[in-house]
Amino acid sequence: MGVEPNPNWVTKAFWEAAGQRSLIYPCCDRCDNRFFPPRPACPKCLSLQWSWKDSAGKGTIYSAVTVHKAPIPDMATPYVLAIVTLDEGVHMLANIVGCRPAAAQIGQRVAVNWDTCARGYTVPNFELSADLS
Amino acid sequence: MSHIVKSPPPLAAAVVGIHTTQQGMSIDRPAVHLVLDAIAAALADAGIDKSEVDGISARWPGPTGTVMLPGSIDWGAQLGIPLRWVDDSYPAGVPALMAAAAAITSGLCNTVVVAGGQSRTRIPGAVLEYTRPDNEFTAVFGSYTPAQFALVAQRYFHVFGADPAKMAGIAAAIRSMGSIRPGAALFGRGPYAAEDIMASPMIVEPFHLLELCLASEGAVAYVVTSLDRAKDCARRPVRVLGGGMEYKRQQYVDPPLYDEAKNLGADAIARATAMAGVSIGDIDTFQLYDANAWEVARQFEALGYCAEGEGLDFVMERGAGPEGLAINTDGGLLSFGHLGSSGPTLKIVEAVRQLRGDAPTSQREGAELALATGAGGGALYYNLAILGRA
Repeated sequence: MGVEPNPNWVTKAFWEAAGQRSLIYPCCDRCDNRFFPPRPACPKCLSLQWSWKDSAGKGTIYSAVTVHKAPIPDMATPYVLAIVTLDEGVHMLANIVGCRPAAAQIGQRVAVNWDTCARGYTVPNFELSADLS
Repeated sequence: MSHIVKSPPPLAAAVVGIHTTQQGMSIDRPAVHLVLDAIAAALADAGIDKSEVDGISARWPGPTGTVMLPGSIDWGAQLGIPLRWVDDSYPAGVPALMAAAAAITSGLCNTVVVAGGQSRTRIPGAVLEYTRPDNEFTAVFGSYTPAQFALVAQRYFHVFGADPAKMAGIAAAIRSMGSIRPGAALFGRGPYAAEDIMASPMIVEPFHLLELCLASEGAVAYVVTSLDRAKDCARRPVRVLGGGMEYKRQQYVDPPLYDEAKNLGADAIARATAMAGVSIGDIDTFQLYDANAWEVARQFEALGYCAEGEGLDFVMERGAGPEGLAINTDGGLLSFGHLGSSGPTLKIVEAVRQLRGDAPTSQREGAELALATGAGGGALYYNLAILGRA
């Protein structure tokens, strides 16, 4: 969709897992705090010991907007930019795909889908889902 | 509207000189020349010679100079003066004003120039580079600054069922004031009604083009000095009475949650009014960071003027013009100009104009206290300053 990711030693595992179509998020080994985006230490207890956990890839739209003017020329518009609250409790930015832009509404359930973008990276997208759990 | 100062405000500094160059959407001169023009004119406005300046807060735009920070030292060399204090606040605006006032009050230096500007920024087909931060979990999804703010506003409209036409009405009122302000980037473009705003292209829901701020070109500068020195300046001094800053998260890294963004300003206004010894009802004019028209309404809610969800109604009922709330009387970032990290500095300058009583248009009659603010919802940081007639 947008520009390709530029992973570093903190975020590399996220994109490697995405390449295997697996959505993961950081969870603190010491205090069990879940957070996103990934940071060098747990922002709650400051532990450096945290691990990646698997997300079920299901969530709810916290906010969604239709973008009609893209920041760079080679992005097709319109597209939907959203904040998704994963069922595991963390928030992430993502695109909602596979529906009319107007159909992506706050409060709707979504499930992860995957899209291969530039340089071969696989990026998590979400699609509307009938699943309520 | 007179106010009683309960105790002497701790900051002992005043703005004594201001200048904005002609603003525009595209200016084919080096930024450093524009900023030099602004600095020279602000010093002349104050009646202060550059030899008296011993502090600078101004990013160095190049060319030449250091590749290291702070770039403000390059300004010392360019202006041919030794410095006692430098600062590269990002953004400039309120943080630079607060740092300068604190440095002067504490005696680190006596007279500070704050300046900045930009030109030759346009990139064919793309929005300006600084409006699309290349952060890994943001840029990949096609997000950029208007979209970050839109995600916050969209949730608000969903929760409160607020009327988008009122947001357009705020944009129309502010842009109409810009259309008559000499020097504004969009001088002559207007007046507008809400319908005109809503007829402009949708950029990112819920924002039409004319509800969003500019990314324009030009320069701005002002001079701050001690209260003692301010007495002998050419113009009526405007005192820095108080301020407050909030940084919830790094901008454009974390998803901007409405629930986290909505109260930005509540803590800052409490600290600033206590510092200044005034109450929010005493403010005569509001120079608010209008990244978009909805942010104006959000700020009145967060600052305590009305309840959450009532900001659009509050502004439309009271009116944005000089007989009402006197909001962004120069046309704001929507019409006067927005200069990247120095865009918020324009808020300080317009507050000073209003308090001197010499705004060329949309002067608030007898304005004694002004609020100037920076950033908000989508940026997840916020800052404000209270200025008053000395």
